[in-house]
Amino acid sequence: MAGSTKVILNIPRLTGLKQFMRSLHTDYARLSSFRSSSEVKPLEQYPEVEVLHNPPEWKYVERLLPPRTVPQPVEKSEYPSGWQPQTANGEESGYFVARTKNHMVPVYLNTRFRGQRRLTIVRYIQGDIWALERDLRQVVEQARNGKLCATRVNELSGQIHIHGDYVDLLREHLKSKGF
Amino acid sequence: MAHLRESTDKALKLLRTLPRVQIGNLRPNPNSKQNDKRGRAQHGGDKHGAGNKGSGQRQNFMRLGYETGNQPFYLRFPYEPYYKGHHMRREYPPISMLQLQVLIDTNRIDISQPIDIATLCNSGLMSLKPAELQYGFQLTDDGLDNFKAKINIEVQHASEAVIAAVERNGGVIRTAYYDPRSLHILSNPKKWFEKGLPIPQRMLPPQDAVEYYTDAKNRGYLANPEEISKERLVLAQKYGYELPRIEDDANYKMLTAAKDARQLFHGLEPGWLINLVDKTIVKLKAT
Amino acid sequence: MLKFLNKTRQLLYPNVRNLSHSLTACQSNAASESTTSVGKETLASKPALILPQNYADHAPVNRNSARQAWIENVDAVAERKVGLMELHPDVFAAQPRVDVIQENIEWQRKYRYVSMAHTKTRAEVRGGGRKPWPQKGMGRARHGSIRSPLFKGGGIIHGPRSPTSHFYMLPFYKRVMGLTSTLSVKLAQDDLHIIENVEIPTRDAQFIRDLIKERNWGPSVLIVDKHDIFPENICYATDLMGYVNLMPAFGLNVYSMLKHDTLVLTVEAVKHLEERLLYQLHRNDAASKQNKFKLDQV
Repeated sequence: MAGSTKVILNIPRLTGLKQFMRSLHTDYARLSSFRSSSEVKPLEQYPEVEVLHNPPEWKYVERLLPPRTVPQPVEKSEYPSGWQPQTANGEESGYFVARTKNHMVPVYLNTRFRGQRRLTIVRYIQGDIWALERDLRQVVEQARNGKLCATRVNELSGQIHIHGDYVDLLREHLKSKGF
Repeated sequence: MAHLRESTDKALKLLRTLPRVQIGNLRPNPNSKQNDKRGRAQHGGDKHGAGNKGSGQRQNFMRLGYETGNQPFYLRFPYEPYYKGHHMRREYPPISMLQLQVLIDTNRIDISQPIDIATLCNSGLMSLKPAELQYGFQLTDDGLDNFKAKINIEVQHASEAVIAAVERNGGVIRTAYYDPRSLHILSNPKKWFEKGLPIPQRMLPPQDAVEYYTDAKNRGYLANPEEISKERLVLAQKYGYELPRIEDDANYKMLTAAKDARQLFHGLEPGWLINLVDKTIVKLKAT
Repeated sequence: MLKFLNKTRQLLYPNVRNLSHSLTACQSNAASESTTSVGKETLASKPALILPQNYADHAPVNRNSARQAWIENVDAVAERKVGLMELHPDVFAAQPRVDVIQENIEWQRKYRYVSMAHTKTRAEVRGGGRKPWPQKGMGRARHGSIRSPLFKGGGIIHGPRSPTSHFYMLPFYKRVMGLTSTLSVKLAQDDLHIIENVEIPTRDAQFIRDLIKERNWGPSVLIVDKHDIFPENICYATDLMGYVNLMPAFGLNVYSMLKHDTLVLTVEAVKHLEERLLYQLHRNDAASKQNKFKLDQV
């Protein structure tokens, strides 16, 4: 049955009917469907365009393309934001805290149990992690007026966890040591 | 620096003395896996730690704020509808002046070019979700005293203090409206260029935003430029700084670069088609 | 123990970094170092290949010194050192996170696993529509169906239902760390070898068997080149050997690396892997890769 209607519609005399049938199907608009867009018209009905190779405006396009990898910071006389480039290489201290790929000091705050437990986490530690743990604990205990401070060292992943929120303190301390 | 290699090298050297790491001899870290099985009978089978009877056992807790028949606390007092229509309001995610200065210091933003939403999103550290009614960024005044850069920035909302902080350094700030479709394009221009569609026109602001963006005090993009230059002077006198003359600046052209009210990208006009592969621009032929 | 470690360290860092990179010096040094199997004339005929890497784009985060590995030949069974290659410490001397390797293995097993275990509920077991005996008067317990879960041959409650997908995605940077850790482990355990190319002279499988025996590889070997189209000879030679497999660099994964005893990379593959992994470690839009995985994401 379907085959026979197809044959009838292919007869040239019935093209008008064919177009009418198609208009039945394309009349209503469906959002997000190919049926809601207009059909391709003959080329003459479109405005003429020109294709410009390497036009002077291309610099505006290049400005809009993001860099592929994180750019390296450039040397500046001062950094008003308080950020500073890494200067220490761990020669004298025996340990090294690497920067993140965004050139930040890797000190983070981890809150658990709806903010009841706060952990300060220092990451990307290489070298003598135990010496760094002693140093950081001393800094924190000084800030706590001599009260003891619990820490945890994960040597395999190069992390130190410190009980309490001492992110700003430790970040500034590490920055002052050049990390 | 032999000692710095200690942590990694110790492990790698140890591995040389150990059997080959294979699929068969790997196991997860101790205690890292939680047992999701429920004990039966004598192995914790009685109540499975849920307690005896009631909401605790059946997990059918009362809805939040319900006080078993009392007038609930949250309905007990008359209130002011701060959040009325919150699901339809425009949201402007904040960027602080400190964050902006950090982006500049770490070379994530090029201040020799005008800064707009695309610049901020291309840094890879900010993102915008126009589908969640985020209509662009607002510049907030945290770290305003440490802001030292001379920039030409276009944001969607800025307070008076922020405007003063930018202009004190000889910079230019402008607030501009973008419709959600334009914001979607600006939040990832590269991805959008790859679609191969002509650049659309930017829509004009809705009725309730017209007042903000035509006000020279807000440095609105639809405000009279004469009034803006007057307001710059007024703000300088109010905050007590001398307004740097940007006309004498070497970067005068960059600092005063502005988009048309219907324009989406700097230097690119609506209707153009960008081809990133062939590096071509398709334009209407001039008649 | 310490003495042994020091010895192995000498093996780990052959002291060739101090060599000048000029060609003549390389030749003379390489010739003087290799006394046993390598003839002087072979080296003289072909200058030794020393590939120092330029890490200007991605300075090593890892404070380890760059690793060095010999480049071996495959045009004959006898081993000949063709050159020396420097390897980026962030990729080939990373912290060996064996726990992350294990997580990768588990993920690779599970994300494609669909459990087909299936049990029938009381509604699906055949029969059981009739009340087996009257509610009262029989002196027996009351029951409404012989397919109740209490009955032998009845339905199963909370049984496995098929198909059960175990799909999940490991966080992106755990997958990256899995690759760098595995490559570092393989290099540290002398299970990673670098060959100049995959052009073997014959399509005879015996050549590969002899090669593996002579070089002390394997028994199972994974050979990785940059592209997925390998030369004809090596394809024929390894086709019928289940324990020698070929893989393009873009398909390299933790499971396959650990499934094979020895990993053999071509110079091109090493460069490609370094480039890709360093890109992932330094990419600008890393935040977008750390979002929750969506099935329809591009």
